[in-house]
Amino acid sequence: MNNTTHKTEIALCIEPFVLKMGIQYIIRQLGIDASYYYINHIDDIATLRCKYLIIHHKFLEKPKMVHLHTIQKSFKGKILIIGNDKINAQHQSEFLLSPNENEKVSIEKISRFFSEITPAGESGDNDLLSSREIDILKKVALGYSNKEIADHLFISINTVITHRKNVTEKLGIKTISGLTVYALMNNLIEADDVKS
Amino acid sequence: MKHLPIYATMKLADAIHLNYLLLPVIGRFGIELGFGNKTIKDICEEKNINIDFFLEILNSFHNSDYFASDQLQSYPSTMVVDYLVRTHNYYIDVKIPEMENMINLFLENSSEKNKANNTLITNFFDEYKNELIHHLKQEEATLFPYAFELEEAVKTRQISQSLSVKINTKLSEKEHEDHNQLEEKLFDLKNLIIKFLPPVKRKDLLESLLIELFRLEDDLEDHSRIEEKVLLPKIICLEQTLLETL
Repeated sequence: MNNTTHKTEIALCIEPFVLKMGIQYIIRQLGIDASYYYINHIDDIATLRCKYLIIHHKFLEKPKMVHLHTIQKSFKGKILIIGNDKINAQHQSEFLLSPNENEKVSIEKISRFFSEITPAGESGDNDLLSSREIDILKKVALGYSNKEIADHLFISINTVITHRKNVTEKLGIKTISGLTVYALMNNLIEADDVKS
Repeated sequence: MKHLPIYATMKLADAIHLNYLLLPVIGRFGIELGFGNKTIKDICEEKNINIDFFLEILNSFHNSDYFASDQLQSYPSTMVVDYLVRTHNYYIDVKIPEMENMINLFLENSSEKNKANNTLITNFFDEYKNELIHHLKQEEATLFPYAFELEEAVKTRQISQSLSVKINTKLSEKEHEDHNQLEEKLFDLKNLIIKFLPPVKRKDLLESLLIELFRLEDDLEDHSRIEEKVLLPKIICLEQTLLETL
């Protein structure tokens, strides 16, 4: 539903259709807004840029035996193997899900795999803006451009952009007028000072 | 069960029970409540509604993943635009005034202490509202007539000078950008209320307003989806056909 945050990019290397759809269903139930890459061959993994890969054990066995370590040399994200314990004895994967697991275990395992982006993983301390971020926020809210802010605060435009990105992420507010409302509400700026 | 598709022989009442968010959608087709046990097919025949189109719209609204087929693109622009315009009217004549009433009531009932903050929210809503209305009017003035013009040109195999200029203006990109901006603003409005507005006197009013904002967001999301996944591809396809025949 939420289309303003970034979608989580997930690569799926799963052949049985029912299983592939089932996994996507569970991911959606967890409230993860995902976009998918469907991989049909193990060699395609090397070119992947996304953070999550879910792979069916069949692909590790056919057309040739591939060890998880080999994949991890080219793919730096997290990998979840769909397979049983016997499979894992070979691969020693951190994340493993057997298709025979019950509902509770399956959901737990999948949500643990994505744990960084589930709300429980977020630390409350992240919400606080640093004093530098507040400086930037004030300027943005007053209507200054990135260039002007950079000149005023003697920092590079790239630094301004990074700070702005962090402010937006921490507050969950993207638009300039939204940030202005936030700054006014919190008495960071005076209404009269806002550039029209 | 929730994502069970809606089909012709289903009772319309059952479809509403399945997903009450479809209520405004059926209203846009001129269907009023009180239809008893009639099936969707019956009602469409009675009201002279194209049933396939009606089902496509209901299903795309009901399940956001529904857009697998190119089915919707095969309907004439007039049918699609007609639905879109009725949706616009629903926002402008019904939804927005309704929300304005709510927000005014909320503002009137704020304590002295909250007044300043609540006014900020109200102003932000006004800003959003004006941009939304402007966007809808803009579409009706440019994008929709453009689709008709293209369709006509393909039919008659004649392209006017003014139309050939418009083909190169990339209306569809602007459309997408506008939608994103509006979505961002609505999202900010919700988040300001949820996360940052200090506790208010009439939290019941604020809650109803927030729920309305969520509903509006859902409705608009579906609306933009029909514009972006049906109308725009249709326009692009017509443009290509024209360019090739010239």
